[in-house]
Amino acid sequence: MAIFNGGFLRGGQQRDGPDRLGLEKNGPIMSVEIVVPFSLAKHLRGKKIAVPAPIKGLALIDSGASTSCVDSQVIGRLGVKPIGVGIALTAGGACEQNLYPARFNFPEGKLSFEFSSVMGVDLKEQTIMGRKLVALVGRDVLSECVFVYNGLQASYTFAL
Amino acid sequence: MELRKEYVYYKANKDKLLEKHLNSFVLIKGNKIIGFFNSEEAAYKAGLKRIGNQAFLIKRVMKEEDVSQFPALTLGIL
Repeated sequence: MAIFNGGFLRGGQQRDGPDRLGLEKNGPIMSVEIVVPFSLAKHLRGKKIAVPAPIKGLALIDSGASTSCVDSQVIGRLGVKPIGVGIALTAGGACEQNLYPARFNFPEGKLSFEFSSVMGVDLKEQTIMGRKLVALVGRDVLSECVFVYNGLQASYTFAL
Repeated sequence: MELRKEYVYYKANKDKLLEKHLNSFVLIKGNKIIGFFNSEEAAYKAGLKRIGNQAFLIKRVMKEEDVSQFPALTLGIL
């Protein structure tokens, strides 16, 4: 089983104890690489076209999201074209959003997910601790994982 | 939104598709149905092979559409 343990420490030091406010403010985050899906990479290599390098950023584990999402600008920069239309509930009501095939790599936990489609959303250049948020990990992924959120210890575990 | 044309075509022909292709994945480019498949992955591979790395619509033929919920986005937190 691949396991990722994350958390927040006061001043970044173990001896100073857990930073509960840090976890409360930022949420459970993981480094992520947004990667060209396997099928497209194979297709590009077959045509002797260079496969774009992964784009790095942060993913927020969002148990409120029913499906995972990727920033539409990021997935577009990888040359991945939309393959579907999904309906998302937003502040303005239901709206139609493009869906994209994608692969998320989580290098810290040596985890990888290949999605037949994820929803492309505008994450509005949001940053967490100076790093760009590029994806939300929703309940479609959590349905295959163990996810433990320990608010008292300002830590979380994500295991597949 | 990209795929507007394909999505409008799908919605206009949905009733006919439901009669014979319920739960199949239909692959559409422009106003043309390219084929029907048993999975989204199979449809994507076929689309890459036949159309190339372009935008094309893969849609599961279902009576009710799935709605994704993103409370953080909904509330404007993100």
